[in-house]
Amino acid sequence: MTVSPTAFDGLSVNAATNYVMLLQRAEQSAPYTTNLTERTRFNQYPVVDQIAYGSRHIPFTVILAKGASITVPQFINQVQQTFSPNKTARTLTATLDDGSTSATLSVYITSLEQTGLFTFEGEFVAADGAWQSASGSSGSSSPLTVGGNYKALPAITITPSGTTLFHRRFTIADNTTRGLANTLIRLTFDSTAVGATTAADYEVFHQGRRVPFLVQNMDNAATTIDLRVDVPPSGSSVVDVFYGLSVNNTLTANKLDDGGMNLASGSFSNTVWVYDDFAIPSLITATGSWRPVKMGQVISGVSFGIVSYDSTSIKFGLRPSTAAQLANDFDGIAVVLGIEAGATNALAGFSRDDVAPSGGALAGNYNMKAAYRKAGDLTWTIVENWQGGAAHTTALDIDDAVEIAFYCEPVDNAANMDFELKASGTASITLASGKVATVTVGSRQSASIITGSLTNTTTGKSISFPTTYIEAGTLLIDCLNKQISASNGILFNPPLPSDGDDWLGLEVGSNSYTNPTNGSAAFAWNNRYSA
Amino acid sequence: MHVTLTNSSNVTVDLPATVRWTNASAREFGSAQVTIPRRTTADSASYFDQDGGSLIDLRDPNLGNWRGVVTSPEIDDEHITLTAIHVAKWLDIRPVSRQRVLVGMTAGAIVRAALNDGLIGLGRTVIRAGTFVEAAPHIDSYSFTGQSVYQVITDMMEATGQEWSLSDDGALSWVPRTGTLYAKVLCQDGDLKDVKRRADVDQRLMEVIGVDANKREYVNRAGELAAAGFWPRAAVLTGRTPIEAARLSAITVAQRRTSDITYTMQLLKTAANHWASIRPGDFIQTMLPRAGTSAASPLFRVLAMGYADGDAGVELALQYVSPIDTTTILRAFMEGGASAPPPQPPPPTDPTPAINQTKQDVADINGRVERLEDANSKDIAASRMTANIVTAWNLKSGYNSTQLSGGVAGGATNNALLAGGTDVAGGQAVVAIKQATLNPSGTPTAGGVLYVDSATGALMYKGSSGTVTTVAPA
Repeated sequence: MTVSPTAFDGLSVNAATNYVMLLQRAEQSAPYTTNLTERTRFNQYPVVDQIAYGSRHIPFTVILAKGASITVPQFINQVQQTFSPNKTARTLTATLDDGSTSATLSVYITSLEQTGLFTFEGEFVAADGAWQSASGSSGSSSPLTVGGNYKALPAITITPSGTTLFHRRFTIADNTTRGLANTLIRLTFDSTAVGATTAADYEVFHQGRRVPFLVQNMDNAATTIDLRVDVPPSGSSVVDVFYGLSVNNTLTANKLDDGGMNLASGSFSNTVWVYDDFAIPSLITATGSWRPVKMGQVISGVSFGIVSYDSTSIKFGLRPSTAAQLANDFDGIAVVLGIEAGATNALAGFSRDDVAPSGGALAGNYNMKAAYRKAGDLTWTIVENWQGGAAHTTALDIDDAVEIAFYCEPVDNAANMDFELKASGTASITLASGKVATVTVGSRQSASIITGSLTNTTTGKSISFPTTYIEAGTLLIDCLNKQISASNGILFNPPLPSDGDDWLGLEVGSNSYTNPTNGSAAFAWNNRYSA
Repeated sequence: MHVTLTNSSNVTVDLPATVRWTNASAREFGSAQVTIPRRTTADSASYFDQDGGSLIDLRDPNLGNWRGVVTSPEIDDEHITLTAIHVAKWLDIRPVSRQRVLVGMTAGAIVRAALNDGLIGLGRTVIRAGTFVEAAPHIDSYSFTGQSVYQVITDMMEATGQEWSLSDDGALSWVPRTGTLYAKVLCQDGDLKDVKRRADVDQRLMEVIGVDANKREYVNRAGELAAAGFWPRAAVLTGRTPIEAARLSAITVAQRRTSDITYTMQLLKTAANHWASIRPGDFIQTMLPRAGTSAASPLFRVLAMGYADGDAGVELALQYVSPIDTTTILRAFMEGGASAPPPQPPPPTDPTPAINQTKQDVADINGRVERLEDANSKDIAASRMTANIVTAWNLKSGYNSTQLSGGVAGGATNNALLAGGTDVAGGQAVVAIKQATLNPSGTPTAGGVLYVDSATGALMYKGSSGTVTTVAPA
């Protein structure tokens, strides 16, 4: 095929202008073939199942036209500017050999050399070897008829149909200046008007990642979703919530690690954490969870450890004897808050008791302590220190602590002794309100789910939709530019093509297709030509 | 790229450069290479130390800044080649104190203590304390025993999932694992080279044994471990108490579960102006089909970003993070598209033929470029930016024993790994050869075979006469 260039990035390049461009025959990388079959016994050539072209290298020449109205220096200057080599995509326009079809090719320039006073030579590279018609075609009902002589790569617009759902975007902003890691945050919002009455009707993404959460008060004006978030120092992260009858999420709904907190308590909030559980936490403890720790002095030959625990208390013991411990070498319990505690009565409902070990007499040769540590401190500050005797139930003031601990310090190793940390049904930690993360609730937006697949039944190629979420509007799948976008900018679980090269290319001639389960496709394409 | 060289004085010039940015999770330090033509402004001992140790800053308006320390300049008649390693390398060199035990601290507090121990107070330190997140988990006990600051930080990363970062002005921060989310912006383009390269079997564990001070053992074994099958390797960790020993082995099991490494070369293309903003640490959601997973919407984290002046795009190392965390690494080459950075002149000399990174070219050790022909070859990819000897694996049938396998050159270690060898025993600028899995049974013609004996581990040579000679004992 012979092509006659007419323009390059808006600059006319034909005999009627100041510049004349000549294209030499393209040196295209050899087509490689797949699925070759063996020659038949009649010595026929192999059957080529598919051909794909590599990048195309096109030498070009630019010369100053006869009768040009510009000077030679002007010509040189403009050619050097217009045809300077770089990797930016630029448009070469030409008339194909039928003399009428105007076509374009996306190219970049790899070289430019002045070979004469009026002559430059260079080379284009076109990553996609096919020219495409300057005028477009479209269709939204099967079958589609495609012209040109090479497969077309369409832009496909998917218009969802079926059940509506809603989307909200929440922004979580750090106020500690140090950031938050795996910190529990509660979102409160209105989930009414879409019938989202079960946990499976909700889907939560944190920074694009599907995360476990706990949802309460569903289909309510004050629905809550608790989840754990990471927020950079003085920065923010985003949480996207989709909810509606068609969500059908059984993987992450109500799978949150609550860290022993009582999230159902009416007193629970982002500022007040309510506790009801002292179960030994999992391997890596989340922020806000109480955890057994080694805190104090260790005396040789003495074992510390957890003697017993239940949902409301945890008992630690010191055993110079050989009595077994549930968890050895832990002499206290601590919680990392991540956010500073409130300055007044941060701990409410926690009490400490010194109790006689089972079957033995209480000995007083130990200290019980409560301590805290501020951000940046490498030492603990003792806020209470007592020895034996009566139970202590006073609410503690913890000023600006990011970590709090209760522990037992032995004075000698002469006797068995236990101490117990208790939590009433309303035990809680109050955080510094000014340091708690700010949650901004985004407005409610209509959204859609697309499932199933869009299939070109002529070629067998398809694009599947793995529960694709978009905000109201349409989904654009651009097979030429390899781009997928939602008209409203919100897209999760994007579709997947079965063909990595062409996505859903259209063959020359008739193409039949089937729509995804809850959406309809409209195609727009430019006929393409291999030249 | 704009380059500022600092020694006794400083100068800013425009020089061709290759640079690699990394995120903490990449577990490697960024590197850069700059070429100075001789007898130009920058060719002065005032601006770089011929023994190394001077400072170098690279600035690209699209890609950001990079600061490193020049290692050992290579000087010839035409050029001076400066190789630099990121200033974070300081963390790997400076030790913390000895015999200090931190009890009941968060990882942020421990990293801050390590930084104070190792770096603060040095005269020309380029790293200072930044922001430290104070979040769970609570580290019961951690000992400073003279290990490097980087080792402390690495231990804390593995225990918490949090990570360090270093700002352009040298502030070291301990932060949650966060990064900007780029949803749906990177899409597949071109060939899908979907080949897996799993971790070498000898690097994988079948069981992890924790041993306490009383020599009691706590075993965690396969099922959750990376090495299923019949590979028996175990690792032994020592803890002072039964609980510590058991927990150490459990933690390691949890980590080893994620050691299934898969490499996939993938050409990606940005549709919008993300070229100029995506950085290591950011998250990108792609429509990148990946074999071996049913993940519908793969979410990746950018661990490293490499760029060489004159290239059309940047190379990304991606970590697969959703819906489950793994250490899966994918390598992507991101083209600039319409928003590509302004053109840069190519390096002044480059004897290596250009490698077409978008297709199936692969360079052999001599720098020849070979076009591979069939579909089975599509799993090979090469990067000129990261290696002088190009790594190649899973070569097509018939080429297996004529090519390097897993050989890498460049960077600080400059090791060459032959025939699948990985253990350089701490060496630098050395050659590692893996033990033969099958000694040669035939007799080579017009040449010989050099190998490490499969049974004895000795270095052997078998010549065309069939004679087998021991070059060196095991």
